[in-house]
Amino acid sequence: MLAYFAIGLVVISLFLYALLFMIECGATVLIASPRLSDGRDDGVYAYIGPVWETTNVFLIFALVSFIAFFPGAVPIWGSALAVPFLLFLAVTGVRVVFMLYVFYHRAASRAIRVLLAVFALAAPAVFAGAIVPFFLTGEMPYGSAAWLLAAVLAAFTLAATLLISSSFFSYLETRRRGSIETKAAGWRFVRAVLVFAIPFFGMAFAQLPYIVYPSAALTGSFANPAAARVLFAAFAAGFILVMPSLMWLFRLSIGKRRQ
Amino acid sequence: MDTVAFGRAFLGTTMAFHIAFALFGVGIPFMISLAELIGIARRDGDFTRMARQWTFAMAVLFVAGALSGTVIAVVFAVLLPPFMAIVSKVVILPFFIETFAFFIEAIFLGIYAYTWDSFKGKWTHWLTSLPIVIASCASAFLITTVNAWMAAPTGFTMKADGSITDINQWQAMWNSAVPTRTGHSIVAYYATTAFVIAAVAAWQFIRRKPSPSSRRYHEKMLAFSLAVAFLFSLAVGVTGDTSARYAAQHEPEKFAAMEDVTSTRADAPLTIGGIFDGAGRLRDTVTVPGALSILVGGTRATVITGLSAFDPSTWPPLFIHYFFDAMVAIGIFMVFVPLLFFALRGMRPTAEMGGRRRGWAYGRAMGWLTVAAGILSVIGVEAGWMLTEIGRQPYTIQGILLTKDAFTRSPAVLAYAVVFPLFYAVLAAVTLLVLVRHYRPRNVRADSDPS
Repeated sequence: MLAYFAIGLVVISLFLYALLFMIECGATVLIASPRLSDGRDDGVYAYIGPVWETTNVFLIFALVSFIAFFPGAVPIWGSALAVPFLLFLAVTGVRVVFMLYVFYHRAASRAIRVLLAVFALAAPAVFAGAIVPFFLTGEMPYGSAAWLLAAVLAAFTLAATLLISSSFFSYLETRRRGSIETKAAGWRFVRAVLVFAIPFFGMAFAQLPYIVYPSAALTGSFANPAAARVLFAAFAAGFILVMPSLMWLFRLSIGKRRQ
Repeated sequence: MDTVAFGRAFLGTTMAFHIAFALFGVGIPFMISLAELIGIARRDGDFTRMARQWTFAMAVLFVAGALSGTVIAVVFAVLLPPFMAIVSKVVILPFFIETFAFFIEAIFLGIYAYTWDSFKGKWTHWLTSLPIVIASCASAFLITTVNAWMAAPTGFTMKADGSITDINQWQAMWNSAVPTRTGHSIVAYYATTAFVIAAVAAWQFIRRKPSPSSRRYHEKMLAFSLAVAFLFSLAVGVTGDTSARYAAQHEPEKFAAMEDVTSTRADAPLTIGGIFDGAGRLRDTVTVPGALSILVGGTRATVITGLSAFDPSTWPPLFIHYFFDAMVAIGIFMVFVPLLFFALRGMRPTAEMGGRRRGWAYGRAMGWLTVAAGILSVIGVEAGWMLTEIGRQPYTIQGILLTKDAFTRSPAVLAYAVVFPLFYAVLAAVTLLVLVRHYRPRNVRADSDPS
């Protein structure tokens, strides 16, 4: 039972990371293209500014809690996924370095903005295409039938990224203008999130009781009971501290209106 | 190059970069919070301006530190599976708690950076800096407990077949090396950050004649940062002494190698400097008779265990003596520089010197010394970690896991890993570029928020 709770925690934090990350990826596309952004740059910067440093923490949290709660699975995915993980990290890393440059430097050239957008879109594609299929099938996508799955996942994730981020920034824009369309735009964003969330959670939970199919099962790789208790206690305390602060941050980030 | 040597070189580079970012991630929030506090308490706009300007550096360095930290998390999982197999069972708790500290740090960094002038109460904005200070310090503490555990592994039993039982993560986290190791490193980060800020201020007096308002601002910045640097450098000295005595008691091989004690003896001399000859013996040293015994135990009768008491296969590389001496020499320099500054600053200007004596504190010579202290203090932190990590060899987890067994067996993985030192070089270059561009004199304004 506890193991199911723990995997839920990991999957939810990974989902939140994916969501924030996708919105940011879309933001980098808007920043790269004046035609698409249509003068919304300031809104994009105002949202991203306070939030983007927190986004990466969700990834770290997902990764550390996955290792902490399921130490038995680490040797399996750790060695098999070494290269895809390093690749994902390199792409994400380049993205963050570019963001650092574009974001805090503002005067970055068009070419650098476009490169940023390319790397930003490559990152979710690599994650969905090279890392996720291994957990689902236990095989690497290259040299096996899993490549088709990898291609579908990567394409779907890219489409979801564009859908979610464009609807999010439209919502922000209508909200800032105080437009009557705000509510409708909000619903468009919620629907876009659902389009991504349903297959995401569906795949994650259809996978159970396996973590890595078929070599690592949930209960077999779960931390020992004493360790699990300490980790849950730490989680409860941490959650109580972090949640209100996170709410405050998001209110600050999306709450500013132009008037 | 063989797989393990390659892996170690890679990991060493990764860690050396990370610590350079991370130490500022711990130090800058503290300096900012202190500057804003002084600004409010003394109604001194210059201090508020300092806090405001450094906020940009804090935000940029946090990104760099977070990224290099993420890389390290993945690198450990990927490159050191046997090591992670043990850590993930025995001492993952500090990492797990650290992610929450990390959340708090990132969240309040966003809040702090974007809410200057948004609150009515004059203390409210300052209060939002406290979670960053506490969380960044907690992060450093928690991560360092794992490093301490690698030197003093407890909280589990390892059977002959390598399986692990009787796990107590809480006990593993609070192992015996925690107080000395966390204390010494965290105060060193504060001291180093203060010195680097002092060096930036001193640079203004070296490069050109600042305008009167800029002069006043940078004089305050220099005096403030050197005062903080002085206090923490003293703390570095005190905790360093405790750390060395901890090593003498609990890590005798490392202690013998870093102090160059070959055979066990009482009345052991303190060996300073020297060069290793071809046969691995230290020559041309300065020795102080009996001093090492006195430093460790208070009397010349204190017996110090020499390297000959241990199997040579468990000796750390003897060159750690250099790291140790470098660290101590830099530590002494770090106390000396602020002392000199405040002595010069305290002197009364006299007529026969053209009223210039007091100006020496803000002169070029003092400026260069301060810049040197800024650079050397970073090198000191690096030397300290080299001493810790190389001093623990041949083990990754003392007595439990040899470094040669800790790495992945896949050479292909290591081949890919080579991009990361390159990546770090780019990250460091971009970070520096962004900082230098932002702080160019014409860009420095009172309202330089990162927004």
